Amino acid sequence: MMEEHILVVDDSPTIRSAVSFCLRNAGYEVSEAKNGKDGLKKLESMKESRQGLALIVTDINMPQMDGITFIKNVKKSNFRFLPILFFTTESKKSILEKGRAVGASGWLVKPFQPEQLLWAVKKLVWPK
Amino acid sequence: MNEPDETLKIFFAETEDLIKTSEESLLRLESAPEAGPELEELFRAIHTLKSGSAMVGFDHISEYAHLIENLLDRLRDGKLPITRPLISFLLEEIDFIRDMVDKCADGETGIEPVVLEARKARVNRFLGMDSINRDDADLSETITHNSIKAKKWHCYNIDLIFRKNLFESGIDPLLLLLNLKEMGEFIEVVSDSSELPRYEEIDIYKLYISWRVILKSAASLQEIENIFMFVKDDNDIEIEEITNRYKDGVDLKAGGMPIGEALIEKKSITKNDLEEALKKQKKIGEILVEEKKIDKEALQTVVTMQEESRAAYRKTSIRVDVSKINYLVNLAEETGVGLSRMQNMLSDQEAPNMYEINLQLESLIKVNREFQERVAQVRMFSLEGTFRRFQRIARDTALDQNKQIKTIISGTETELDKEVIECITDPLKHLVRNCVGHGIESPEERMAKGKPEEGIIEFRAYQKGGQIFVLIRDDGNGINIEKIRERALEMGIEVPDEEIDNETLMQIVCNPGFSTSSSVTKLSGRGVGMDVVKTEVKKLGGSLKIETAKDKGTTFTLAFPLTFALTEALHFREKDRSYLVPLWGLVGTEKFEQSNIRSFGGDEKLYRFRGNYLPIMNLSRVYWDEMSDINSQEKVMIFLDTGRRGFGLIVDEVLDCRQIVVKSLESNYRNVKGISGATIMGDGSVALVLDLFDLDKIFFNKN
Repeated sequence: MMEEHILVVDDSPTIRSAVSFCLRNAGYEVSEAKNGKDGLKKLESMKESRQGLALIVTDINMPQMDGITFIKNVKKSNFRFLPILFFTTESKKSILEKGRAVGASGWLVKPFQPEQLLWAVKKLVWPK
Repeated sequence: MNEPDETLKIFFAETEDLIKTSEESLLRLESAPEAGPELEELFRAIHTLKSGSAMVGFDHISEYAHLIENLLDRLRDGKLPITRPLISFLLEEIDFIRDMVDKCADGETGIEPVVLEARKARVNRFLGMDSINRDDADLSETITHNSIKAKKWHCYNIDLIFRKNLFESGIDPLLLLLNLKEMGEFIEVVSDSSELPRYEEIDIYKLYISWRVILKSAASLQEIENIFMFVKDDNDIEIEEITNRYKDGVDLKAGGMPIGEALIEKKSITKNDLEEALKKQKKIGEILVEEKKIDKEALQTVVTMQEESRAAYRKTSIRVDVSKINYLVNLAEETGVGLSRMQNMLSDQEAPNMYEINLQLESLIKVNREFQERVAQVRMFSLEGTFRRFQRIARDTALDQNKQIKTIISGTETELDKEVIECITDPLKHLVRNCVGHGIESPEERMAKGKPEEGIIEFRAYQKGGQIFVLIRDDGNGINIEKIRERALEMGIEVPDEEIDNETLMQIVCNPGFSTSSSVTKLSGRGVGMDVVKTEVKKLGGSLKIETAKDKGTTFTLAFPLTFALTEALHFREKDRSYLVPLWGLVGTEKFEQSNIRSFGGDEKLYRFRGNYLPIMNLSRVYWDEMSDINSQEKVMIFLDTGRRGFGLIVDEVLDCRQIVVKSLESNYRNVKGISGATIMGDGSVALVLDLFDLDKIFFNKN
């Protein structure tokens, strides 16, 4: 069986790298995207195969296309039943509400520990 | 190098960019102080820096960036006006963050807590006390990972009634149940399917079932709730602890309990005993030393190695534009294709077609040359960042001295070798301070002279011929020649009686320690002078020029050869040795004609070249006692220009023009006057590379 695939969308290379490392370490396959727009492009390219995509992890505050718009777009696509986990630093209720309203499945408040990330991912992705 | 290291490297590179971006936005914000895209950009940069540094574990930087972010947030909301002092303050804060990052990059752990607290207090003063309360604190703390601590068993009654469209948010209730199961043991699970419609009415994208679970678990109520944290707000989830009802028959002895805690549980030891015992645990390194598995020195070596590798992160890595890399990959492929074609040609026939092979070889040489050029380009960086930093320095200096300036930047896309940029940045900072400090007059003075109140500082970079020019110009009062003369005499520097021209001026001010400033201000006149600038520039094979005119201003022009890894050079022979001279210094070559020579007195000879008479020199004068016979008709003239003066060199034969890699002679042999290095030619022989500045000195400053 194919490895569980996770798409990581974040504009900061540091976070992308750290998150990907942590996920790969836990045995997931990881793709990366720089912002919402890039993320949609990546999804478009996976449309046919789906490549075992099991989860999208995205930042909210990003240039070009922010996370909320990105989630909205994903929810309009073939991938609408895919769980989406988002990161935010502004742990204000309003951001969480917004995320939930557009259909995100969960969130993490930055900065987080690798264990927290995996813990959240585990809640949204079926174990192999 | 493993991946966490890679992440750190990425972090340092990214942070450097973010800090630069912040500075630039701040400077632009200063000229248009209102909330807008600039502020957004700044906010985003700080924000990213904050989360990035927290991610790699530099919490102190993250916390600090958070404070700044709060401050910016207030600017965004219009709660604080954007003022010049505030921007100055923010620039200082950015510097402070840069310091902290640099420290981390150098492998130091952190900053003195006292200093950090003092800085934080400063930021808080700007913020006002009311903003310090954090209503969101509870949210960031709700996520605690579920380390299974050995505690007492609890029993929970969990009712799960989800909204029908739960699937749309990507949540799978079954997964939640599985998660729940990991927390302990299901005593009872009941599913309620009474909501399920008739078969033909079922929408498979809807959820009709709800559950009740009775769970026995060591986890706290909080931990159980955490499982549902993504769904608890918009679904009907109720968790109730019912431990008391299920207490009977539950085994209190936890299997997975650490021995220490189990002992506490059984009251065999106290908590203090355990903590004391834990304190006795040592670091692995120390234990190994103690057991004589390794000696102290070996341990120290490894520790130092770790520290060094941390410090090396930033110095060894450069960020390269992907397009540059792509180009290289292309060229590499081309080389591969060319080589295999060549192989075919050579093996295909009994008598290989030499003409074709030659053609192929030529095209391969062309590709290879381009390859070399492109690889050299990887080391090239635009001057954008450097100029922005200069802009910042100019601004700070002006503010400090109550002067008004406008900065003009152009040619930022011009690229220079990374090493050159690194070497010249510091000395040039000094130059920039000088321009503002000594060059630009006070607004009143400028008004009196009929100039606009705002002084102009210009930074320009451009490429011309084989050289890159960096120009720093001010429109201030120019260098006061009389003052220079006075000061030079005081210092015992030789000054000609006649009018001092730009060239002489240059020689005077480049004397070590030369400074005219009577008062040492905060920013200029510290005695680190032009000599440092000149030395650095020369070290890099460049040249420095000053032009000044009273009340018109001063222009400093630095010229650098295009690349450093590869030098284009003219290959010639004199006596039985071959030499190379860098092409950027070459003006022209021609056949030696006795009739073009004019002599006057002794050895001094001039040669007519393009309408000018240039002094002619002979390498024999430097490296041999005996003068070679210049009456020979077979000689060739090479005309060179160091930027200071032009001169001709008589040589035996000009061979060709080629790209060379200059190897330092000093590190392989010893320093030789007039020679900047050596290179290995195609046939394995060694050719010496001439140092034009040194030659200039040998020829003309012999006394």
